[in-house]
Amino acid sequence: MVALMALENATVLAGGTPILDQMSLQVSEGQMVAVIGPNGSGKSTLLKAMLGLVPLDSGSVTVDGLPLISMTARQRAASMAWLPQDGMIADRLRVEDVVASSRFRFNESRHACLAQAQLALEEAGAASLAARWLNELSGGERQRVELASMLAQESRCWLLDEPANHLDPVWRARTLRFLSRRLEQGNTVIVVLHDVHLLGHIDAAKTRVVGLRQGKIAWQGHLGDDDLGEGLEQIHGMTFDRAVAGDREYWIPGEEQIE
Amino acid sequence: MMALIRWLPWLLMAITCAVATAWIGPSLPEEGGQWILRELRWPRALAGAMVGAVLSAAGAVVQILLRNPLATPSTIGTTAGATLGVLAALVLGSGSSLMGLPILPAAAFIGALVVTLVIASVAARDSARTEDVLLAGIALTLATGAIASGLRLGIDQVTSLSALRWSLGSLTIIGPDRISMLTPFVVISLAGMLWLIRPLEVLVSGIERARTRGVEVTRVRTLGLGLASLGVAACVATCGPIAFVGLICPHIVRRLVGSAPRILLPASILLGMVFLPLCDSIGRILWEQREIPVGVVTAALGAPVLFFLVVRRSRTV
Repeated sequence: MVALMALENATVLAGGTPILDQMSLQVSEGQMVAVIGPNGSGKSTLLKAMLGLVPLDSGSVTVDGLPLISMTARQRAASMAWLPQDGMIADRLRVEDVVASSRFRFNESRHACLAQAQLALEEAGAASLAARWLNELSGGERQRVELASMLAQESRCWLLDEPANHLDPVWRARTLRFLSRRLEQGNTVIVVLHDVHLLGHIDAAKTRVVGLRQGKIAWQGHLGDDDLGEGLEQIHGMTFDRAVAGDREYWIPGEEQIE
Repeated sequence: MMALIRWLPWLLMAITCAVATAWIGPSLPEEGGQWILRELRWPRALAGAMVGAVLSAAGAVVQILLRNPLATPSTIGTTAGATLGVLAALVLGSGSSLMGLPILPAAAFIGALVVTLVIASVAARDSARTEDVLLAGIALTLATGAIASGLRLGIDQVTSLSALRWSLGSLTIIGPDRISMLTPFVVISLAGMLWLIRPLEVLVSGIERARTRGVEVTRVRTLGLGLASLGVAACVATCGPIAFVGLICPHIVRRLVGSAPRILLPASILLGMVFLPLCDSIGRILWEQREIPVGVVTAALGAPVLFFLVVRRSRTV
């Protein structure tokens, strides 16, 4: 089976230092992948490399076996939707226009586009926001608009860069639950999390965990694996304590520095 | 099609207002008044409407493409580049032609495009901040201005004097011949920029986001800046550098109806169509017996607006 997304020996350099170092990673259709790792370990760059937003210095990215560089922007948009880390630009824009604009690849009439945008807003629980100005929304409301935009794009794979950033605990948990629902709907989800605590909010079974350190994959496994704790230690160079709440387990950085 | 019908009443209103500005000014004499209106003031109002529309639209497009609300053809050096091109053409002799095109607009376009693309390359770097783009624009404006002054010494005194008057930005020299030279450039530039509305709608959410949503960003940016430069260059070649229209009009529109290009761009065009002839008429009545060039009027209005915007930005950031 051809992987939906595949990185082959991908290297990205910044001023001679590798941010991604000969990284190979394959993600198959319908998988949930949580990418974790300390600051500067290359998590965001990994997503951008997959999206074709940063050029590779060596190696390749393929989507469905096709080299990314041979794909048009529209083809890429059909395969991958992206939620960046930096948040939305707070311009004076109508929410429905913003969501509708993420359907650019469809080349449809404005009427059809708005109708689909409305559906996406409803699914993200934001139907009431349609006519509001983007710059007047709260953090949680913006998050719903972001997710609605992702829905409207109708891409197969969702790539999210710390989608829980700047959100209150309730919205963090909601966002991650929303992603689990997308998985049930057949999407592939690759989500970057810098807070390992959030792993506990992912309720999708068989979530793959990929841990980066200095541009390399330091450990990978699955949520619920017995050696997840050791994996986190390898990734962060730090001991982790396991806390259990109900049927969820959470990982909290310990005191002790390894090395 | 629907969009066209929706905008039509507004377009008619803008045209009416632009034409109406012809009646503002020293009262027309009984004898020959109709002639002045028909031969002088209407062509001026018409040219003013076209130039205003292009400058305003170019401002809006440049702001979206460079993701910078302070970027306009006059702040990033496009206007200065076009001015330099025109002066270079005057030194060569304004009667000659370049590849079949009249040399004035052709030279203006080359100057405008070169400067704009330099600025675009500065703005495209990830590390570029708002201020960097403006500073690069100022640097290029000063550099081209210095060269232009030098060139002015190279032309004979009569041409030099008319070049000086032209370089203040004025609609007085407009005649039917100039209008017919201006029209095709205005039509191509405006139609092209309106045609880019769909990708621009995505670009307002950010360059990288637009890329992941299917927009060929590099192509749209090159096209957009090229079309804006073309329009601005034609305007500069016809009536000199008129600054700040591209800053003031889109800014007012944004305040009123928001930043969505779908509305911002057509509304900026319409406002520019009224704004520039109005400024021209104001210049006609401010000083008895004399005319203040329209470029001076827009600069007097625009400079405080730019100042205000910069101060407000630096306070919020």
